Amino acid sequence: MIFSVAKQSLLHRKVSVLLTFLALLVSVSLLVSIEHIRKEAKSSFYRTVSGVDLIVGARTGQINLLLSSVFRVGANANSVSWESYQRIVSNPQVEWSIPLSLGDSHKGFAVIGTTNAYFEHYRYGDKRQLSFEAGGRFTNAMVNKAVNNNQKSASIINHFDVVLGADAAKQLNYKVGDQIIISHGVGKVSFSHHADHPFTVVGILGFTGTPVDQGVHVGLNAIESIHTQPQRSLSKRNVSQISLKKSTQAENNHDEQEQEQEQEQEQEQEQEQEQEQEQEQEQEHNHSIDSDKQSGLADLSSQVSHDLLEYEIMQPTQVSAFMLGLKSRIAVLQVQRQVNQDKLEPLSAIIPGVALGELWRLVGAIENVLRIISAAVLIATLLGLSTMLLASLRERKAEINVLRIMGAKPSFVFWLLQLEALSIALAACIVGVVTVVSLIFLSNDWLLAEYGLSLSPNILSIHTLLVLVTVLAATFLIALIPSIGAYRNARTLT
Amino acid sequence: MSDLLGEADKDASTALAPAVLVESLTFSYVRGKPIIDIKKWHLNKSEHVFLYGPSGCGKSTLLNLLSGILAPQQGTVNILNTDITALKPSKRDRFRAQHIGVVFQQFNLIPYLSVLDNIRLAMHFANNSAEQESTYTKKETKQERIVSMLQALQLPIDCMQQKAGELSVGQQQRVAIARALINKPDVLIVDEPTSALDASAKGAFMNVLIETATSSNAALIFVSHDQSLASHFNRVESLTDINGSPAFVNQLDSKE
Repeated sequence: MIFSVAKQSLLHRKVSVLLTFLALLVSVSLLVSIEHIRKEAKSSFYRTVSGVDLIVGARTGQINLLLSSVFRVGANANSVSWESYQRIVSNPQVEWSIPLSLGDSHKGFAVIGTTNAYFEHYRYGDKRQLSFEAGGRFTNAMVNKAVNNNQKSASIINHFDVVLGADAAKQLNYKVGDQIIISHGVGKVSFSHHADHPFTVVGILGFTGTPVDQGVHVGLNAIESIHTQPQRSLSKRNVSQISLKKSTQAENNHDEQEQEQEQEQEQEQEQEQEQEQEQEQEQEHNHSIDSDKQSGLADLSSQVSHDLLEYEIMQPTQVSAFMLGLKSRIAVLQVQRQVNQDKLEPLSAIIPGVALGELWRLVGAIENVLRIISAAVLIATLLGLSTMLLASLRERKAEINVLRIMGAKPSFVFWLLQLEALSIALAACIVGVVTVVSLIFLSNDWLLAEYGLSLSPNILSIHTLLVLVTVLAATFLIALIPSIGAYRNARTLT
Repeated sequence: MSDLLGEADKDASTALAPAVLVESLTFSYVRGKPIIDIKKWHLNKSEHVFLYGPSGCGKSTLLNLLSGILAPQQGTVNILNTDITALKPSKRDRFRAQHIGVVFQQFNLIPYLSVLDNIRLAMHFANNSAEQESTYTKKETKQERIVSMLQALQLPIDCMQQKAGELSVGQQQRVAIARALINKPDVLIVDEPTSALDASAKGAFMNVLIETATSSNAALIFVSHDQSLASHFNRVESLTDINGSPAFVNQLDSKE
């Protein structure tokens, strides 16, 4: 009976009930989506890397290393020498390793030089392995072989394999089998394109919701080869030697160089000579002078023996960072200490979980701001609800009298008002959740394409349920004001 | 006090007891200025009484005391030998729902509920936990009871589904009587029910009221300042006579 009365009472006050409902709906939706986004942001943050015991790079802060190796934000200026990499990997505690060479980009997407170990051992989320949407791993067996066996190889191939992250493939609209050109340097506007280095897409990774999606993965020695000179026909080799001299002169006039490059880009096809020059310049921009000269020299000397459009498989001389999987978790701290105290090269080893935690504490302040905002919205709405109930209480005084005359207990009046308030809140909660779920569902593709954000439409976690329970409990408490008022009125009726 | 009596004692004594017995009843909103001061007043079962008095003489207060909505500072109000002033609030509420019907001059119905639901709600409160009172459900369904009650009050049956607020004032007052009588109360208290009605509707309303009150064997307390309605009653009393409050002239002997 009380339900029927409450229902008809609410229907009777359609307009004010509807307004209260809408106000609550907005704040519940806001609250639930903020809570959901907060949770998703945090979990996707912590999901970026898992199952990796240590990340090793040149000596730097742990957040720096984490940002550059996992999030591909910023770059560590220093690299780890190939020898150090080999030395650390040879530690008996190390089960597997993923070398990473970072710092290049393709149309704004980070290029990661690595090996097939990446697809084998990289884990995200709940230790999930990377899956392939299409194609597969690097097929150039030699690429991996050379790296793994540490041989001074001089294999020759005519193209490099590339595996694209889900977002990169989608946004660039690449399919398996497409030939692409990898440019050098970070950023969308790169200095130039290496027309000489065609890459063939051999695989596209499944969606992970991590920075892996934005990655363009190539063989570690492919990176090495981009940085060194491509092998050209003999006639052009002379030109490149000339251009190397040119570029060293041009080092002083940086602006002129860039202008030149722009022009060159426009006339790429016709002016192959200048293109050579560009590449030389890039090397100088992106590498420490020492290694640049070394590789340039090595390049020149090795050029003699090769033929048209073929590339030498270069032995990597350095990696930006590498990830380690250890045989036992207990060894983590021990290996970390060993790496940090390495006498031959200044290195840093970080535990991803610890570094992620530290980084999140940095970013997490936003989380609290969001929470405070949504709490303020909720309080404002609940006060609105209370105002509506109190205002209606005055006009309902006669109604409460009638109920008392009929023999209703004051508690009936109390629960009638509570029931009305709670049904408005409950309806707002249900509709709010449905709205948010459908909004996430509808905007998922757009968010993914536009911001690379993937929100799970399953918002009914313990957190959101807690939010909803809080809303209902707060409604109950706020509605106590008019309800107790009505109860008192009902008791001392005149 | 009578709360301590067993149910059997109560049933035995109700046969002889007057419908209403008020003894040394005083009530004041402001301490020291009693608005109600009644030494003794009683009403027999099925008896109808017309109480008249100017506004402000404590009519509504007395009715609220009689129906147990207000608790007196002193004295007892016995309805069918049950001292309602001694009942616990929750018991008093149920007692009111079961034994006392009240009709005010206005606002007798929940405007947003249908006529049917208004009456059902009254039945619901009376029926709450008093299964012995639900004897009528054996003979006739609630619906049938409501229909016959509305017919007796000369209300169209199709008004049952209408919202109470949509009815005319005259119809609302009749529905109020139906609502007040649906639980077969022993006492029907009616306070200025005709003040919002025009002269012709008044007469018709009074006839219907007296008729249904008589047929349901309820004692009727009718309060009004309109002495022209006194003709419908055998017993007519001035409230100022029975109320010994210093605010009014002290005349303790009853008119009859």
